[in-house]
Amino acid sequence: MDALVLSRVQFGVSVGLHYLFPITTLGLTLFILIFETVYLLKRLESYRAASVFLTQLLGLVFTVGVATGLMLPFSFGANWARFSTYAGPVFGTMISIEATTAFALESAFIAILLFGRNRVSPFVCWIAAVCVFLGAHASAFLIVAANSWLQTPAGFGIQDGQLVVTGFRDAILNHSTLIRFVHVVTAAWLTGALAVAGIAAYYALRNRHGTFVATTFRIAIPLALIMAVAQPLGGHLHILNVLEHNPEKSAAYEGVFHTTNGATFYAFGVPDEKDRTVRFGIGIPRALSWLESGDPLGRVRGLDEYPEDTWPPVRATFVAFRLMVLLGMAMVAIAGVGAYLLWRKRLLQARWYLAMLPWVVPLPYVANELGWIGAEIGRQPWLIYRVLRTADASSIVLPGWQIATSLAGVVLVYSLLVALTLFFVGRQIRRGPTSG
Amino acid sequence: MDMNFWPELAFAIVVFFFTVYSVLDGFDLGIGCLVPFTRNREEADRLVSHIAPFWDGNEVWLVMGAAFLFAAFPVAYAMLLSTFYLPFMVTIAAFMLRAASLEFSYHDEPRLKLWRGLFGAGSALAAFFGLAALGALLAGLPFTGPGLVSSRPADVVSPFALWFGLAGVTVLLWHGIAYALSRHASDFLLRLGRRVWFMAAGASVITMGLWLLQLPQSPARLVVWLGGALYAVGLVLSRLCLGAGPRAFRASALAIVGFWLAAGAELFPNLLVARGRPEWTLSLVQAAAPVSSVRPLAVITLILIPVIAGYSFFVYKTIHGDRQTGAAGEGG
Repeated sequence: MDALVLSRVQFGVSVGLHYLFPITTLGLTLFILIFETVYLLKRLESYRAASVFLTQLLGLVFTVGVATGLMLPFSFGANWARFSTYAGPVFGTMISIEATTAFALESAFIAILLFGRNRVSPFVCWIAAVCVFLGAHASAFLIVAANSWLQTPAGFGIQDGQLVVTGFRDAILNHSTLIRFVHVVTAAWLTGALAVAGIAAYYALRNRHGTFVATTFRIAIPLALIMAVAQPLGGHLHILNVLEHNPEKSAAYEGVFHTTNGATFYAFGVPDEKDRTVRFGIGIPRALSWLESGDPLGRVRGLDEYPEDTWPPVRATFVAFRLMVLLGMAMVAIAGVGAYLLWRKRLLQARWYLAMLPWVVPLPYVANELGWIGAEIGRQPWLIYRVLRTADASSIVLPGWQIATSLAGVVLVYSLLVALTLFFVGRQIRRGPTSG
Repeated sequence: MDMNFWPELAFAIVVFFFTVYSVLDGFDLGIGCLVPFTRNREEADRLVSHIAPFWDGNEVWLVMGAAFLFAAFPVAYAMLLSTFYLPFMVTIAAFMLRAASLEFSYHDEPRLKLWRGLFGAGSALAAFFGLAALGALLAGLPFTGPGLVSSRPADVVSPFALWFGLAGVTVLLWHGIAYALSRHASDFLLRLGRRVWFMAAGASVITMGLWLLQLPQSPARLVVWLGGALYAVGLVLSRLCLGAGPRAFRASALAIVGFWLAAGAELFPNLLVARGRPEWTLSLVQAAAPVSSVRPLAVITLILIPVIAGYSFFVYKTIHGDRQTGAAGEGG
């Protein structure tokens, strides 16, 4: 019962399952804002009905999202006491700012969307939608900033044995916040677009709620395509950022054990950490060098340039990253076909596509999780890159059996909450929007 | 006078966050405990309708308080949570249960009683464990050395803390009833309220006695007494004002403010008191993050607090158009 391993698994499970909710929330708040804006400007009832329907889903997703998220800031203090003590002045400050700005804003105004629609004018309703959208996205920004500070720390110093902020802007923006924020939000909007499109396809196939279908497809499909294409483009910039600021992670992502000129880009493979090679590799020779520097014979640094005790687990990082990219390519294709059908006005007749679309909805969720698995495992053995090792960050007073107990509880409760949310969301979808 | 007042100011901000939280989510939790025990569906619906739009926004004050504690007093945050590890996990699970079961109750009419029962259980457990943790904090933590706290359950659980949790729940029940009566008239709540007040008052008297006997004398004991007096005045006033209207609730809120004044003064100038070993006690100054960190954090937070209060009040006013509210549930 190694306490460190148990704490890592517990955090991974709790944040991994929690994450399913905010990415859905981000997408839903975007659509609700779009629909409320159109309704405010054009007073088209179909848009209001669509907004009301998505708001019902938002209520479920947001509330259970808050419930699953509640544990996370407390986990830092409980399971990672040494991290909290050491980095609290910086990391805790970012969490505190997130709570007092973004979280407070969205939690207050969502009440109007959920409970006050009938009492307010379309304008106030729109203000509420704006505030919930801004709050959710500000939350995403600040949480990504806090995590980015762990990945590429900046703007800090050491004082009295604790880390302190020496420059707010440098700490929050550090070296990677902006590109990672863009990447996270693009992923969330892609998820939302495909989810809404999947719901619309479900109705279209059964010839139900034609107005809702028409209203949403018109926005969801093009949005999905734009996001699906933007994601690998942004992802490329992201990877270049990782290459510059976390070269060990970058080398692990690409399975580069030995420094080479003209490195292969692997589409797939299985890294063997003992033999320091990639088995069953399917790749394009020299393409990695070209991607990273524009020169097919460019030098790509391998893991063996760094001490072995600073290597992340290569296999997990590499495989998670490849699978994420594969799913991303699949989503480009799916969104592309949908956009083409929409453009040709053949979308509603393409029953094979409509039948397939709801089954595609889990793909962006899996891709999101894989991306984070790659990012977080790729940062190991560091919790704060080159500042604090994960192994030096856990709570020493906590015996393993207590963490084993809480882990069992977390797995049980979180799984139950996810399952119940899916059940009730599914049921709400089957019932459908009240009009249109 | 020491120019470095930032640790004390940060402490005041933490106490402020938890005070506002208790006044607001206190009635959510109190009403939550009552919901499974109403006589009929209409009463239960009405009680839920009072808290449905607001409990989430009210809970945010807890998150803000905890996050600010994390940022301003990181070592204390870590020590507190790793000591009370399992109790805290149960507390968080209770909050999660409260949130999820209420939300699911809006979507599952056939199993409404089940979800509302779970909602009641979650509210009661959250209130009990949260207040027990507070009681344990006041009574002193089981330090095993300077900067080290034991996490053995046998060391952590103390009779004072358990009693404090129970007593606290009765007070929150009263606070919830007072709030509900400020929103709608109800003979049932009036009759229940008289009995609950008696329990809460009795429990408060016993707690005050234990407090005087067991807890160490604080250097700020005048403020402790002031807080205690405010609490007593508020509690008595709210009973005298019991009836339809907001006065009972306002007095109850005053009592809660008085309590936190006393609790804050009791701890002051320390944060984590070492039970039986005062030399290991962690003071505010010792626990605080460096001033260069606390100062900008405190300034930003102080600016934000009125902003949050402002728009929260706007949302509250917007949703509560008239006094009698309709059926519970979402959909607007």
